[in-house]
Amino acid sequence: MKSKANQPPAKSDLDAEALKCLPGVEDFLRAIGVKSNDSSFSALYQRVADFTKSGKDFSEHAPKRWEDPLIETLVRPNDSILDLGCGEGDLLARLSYQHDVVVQGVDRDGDAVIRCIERGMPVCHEDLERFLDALPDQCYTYAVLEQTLQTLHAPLKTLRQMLRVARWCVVSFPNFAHWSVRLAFSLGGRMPVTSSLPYAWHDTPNIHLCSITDFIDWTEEDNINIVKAWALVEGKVLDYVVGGENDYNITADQALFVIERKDFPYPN
Amino acid sequence: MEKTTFSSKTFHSAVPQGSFGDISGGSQRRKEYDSPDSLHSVGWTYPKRIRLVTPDNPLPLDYGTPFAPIDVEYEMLGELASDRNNVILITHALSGDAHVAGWDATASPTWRPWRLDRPGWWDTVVGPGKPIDTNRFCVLCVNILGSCYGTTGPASINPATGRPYGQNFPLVTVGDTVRLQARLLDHLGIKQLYAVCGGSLGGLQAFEWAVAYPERVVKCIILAAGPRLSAQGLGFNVVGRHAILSDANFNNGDYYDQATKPDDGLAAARMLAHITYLSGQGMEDKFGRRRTTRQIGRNGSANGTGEQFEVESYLQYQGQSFVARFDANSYLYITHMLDNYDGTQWGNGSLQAACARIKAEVMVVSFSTDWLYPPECCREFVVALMRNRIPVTYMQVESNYGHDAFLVEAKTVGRMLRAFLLSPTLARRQFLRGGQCK
Repeated sequence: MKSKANQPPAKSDLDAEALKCLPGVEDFLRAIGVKSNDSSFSALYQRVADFTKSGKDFSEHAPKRWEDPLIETLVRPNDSILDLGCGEGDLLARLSYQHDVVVQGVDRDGDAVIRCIERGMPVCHEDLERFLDALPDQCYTYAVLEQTLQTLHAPLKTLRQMLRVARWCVVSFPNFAHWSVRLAFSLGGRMPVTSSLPYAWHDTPNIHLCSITDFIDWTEEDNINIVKAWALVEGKVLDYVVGGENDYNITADQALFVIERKDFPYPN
Repeated sequence: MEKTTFSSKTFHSAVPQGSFGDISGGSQRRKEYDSPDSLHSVGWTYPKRIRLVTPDNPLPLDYGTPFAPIDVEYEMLGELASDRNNVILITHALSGDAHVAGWDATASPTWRPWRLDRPGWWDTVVGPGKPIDTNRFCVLCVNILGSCYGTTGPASINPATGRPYGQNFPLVTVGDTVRLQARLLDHLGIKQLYAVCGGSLGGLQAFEWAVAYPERVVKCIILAAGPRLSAQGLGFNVVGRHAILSDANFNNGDYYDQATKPDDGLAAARMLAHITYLSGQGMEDKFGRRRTTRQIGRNGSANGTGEQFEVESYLQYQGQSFVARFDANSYLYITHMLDNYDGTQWGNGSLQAACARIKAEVMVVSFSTDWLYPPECCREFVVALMRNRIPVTYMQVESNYGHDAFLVEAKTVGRMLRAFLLSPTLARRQFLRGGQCK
């Protein structure tokens, strides 16, 4: 058994196109100097084999989005996940290659959509705010909105639609009440530019920024239950207890909420 | 035809300048094609025709009694893999044929002369190294039932009478056509299609394939097609058929022995249809109100000055060239086929129930200015699949070319086709995950 496991898999098991679709592989290939259009399979394969023998795995090279591993902990087999604003499909690939789930992406950027298609990720080229209206009630387990809430024209309408279309809604956003933002504005007198809000005032896509407290206020007004929450504090992911001792509204860069409707009006 | 005259890698179409024979843009009146000896052309092709359905095993039809005999014309490009799993079936549209790419080696000034001037109808997308790569895939294109390009249709000889069927040909449907294609695959020993791909009427066939034979399709690509034609689309076809039926030479479809055929009716039908394949903005960009002094039409000009609007000469050219290559009865039968199709039939009126049968990965592409199958119509497929939690890929292409965009926007469409065809299949992804195939 052991000797067999050490042998490289047959060529048919692992070809260059399949490799490209694993999370992080492309970054890995770039790191070891293979161009993405390199067609020499055996050279490519040898490099990958050497790399895997060294005990590392590709996921280290995957783009770091702190929410993605947390969302992975949520999903269970046979769940279905709708990723709104999926970009190039990093989360979709991660979920569909490592978990037994159904994924579907939506994005309005044509080039990102083509990249999703190349990876084999199902994606709709649509404006998500319009597209949600066409979907029926409760056809997904999770609707995910990563770092996109603040760019929407009608964020609350979209959140309500997400809670109609999916059982749970996963939403992350930059916290506009972080101390660095407060300092930049109150002492610096300028629009804040931070690691979570890297844009200048004139080129930002963010039109509806909010703080963690604002978001929690909305959930109370709209009769929404916070199932789970995390905060990103100085690069560390911390469990967020709403109403707990720590005031994450001043220390957290970003927050991730899993929410559901309290009055769940749909038959199970 | 002296075939060795094509020495340069690209050469110009024989369509005379100013005749607006190509559909790629108003100012560009000549079009460069990949010549048969180009590395990107499939080269010379030889259509195959076989007697697929014989009276001892007739083809069941959706309407009426089982039908035989049926001949089928098809073309096969590229190498069939040893396990026969690399086949892409391309389904053609209303006026298309099995000649999808390359140059027909059998064409001559007396036999399908229009094929001397130009390669197959999707040569921009199908060929070695092109998005539907014949180095990798085996491309199969089958002429549809009721057509006049080799597969049995109303112009074929009825063995019972020794004369063409004419209006005695049975009413045929997209379902019948797909059933016939499935028989051809049985005949060729192909169990499963890697992909089925088509636009417009071809898109309806692609969808029908995925629903009628879910186990036999791995990937399904639907371009510029929706589950059913809108009232507006039906209306256009009604007027087109009316033009043919009211032509004095139509003679209830029995015109094959006549010196004059219902050409005016067919040309009028085509001219009307051609407007529906374009968009208002596209026509404005291409023709505007410009005039031309060239006399293309038989009818000359209306104002006696020898001038026509460019759009007039363009449409007259389209009508006349169509008459030279198409049969009026076939036009009636195939537009009926298009009109009668309803994707909800497999679900007893529910598209969602019909889509629940699908096991293929589906990609739907719509075009922003398409009149016949506008984006909202194509999106019905997408929403129905999502309602079943079936993953689906949907692209909406911004284009001024209307319904024709699925052919004209070859670069954009090609990029999507290449990405979708080469992406790992669902089975491959499950294998990589180490999970069990569902």
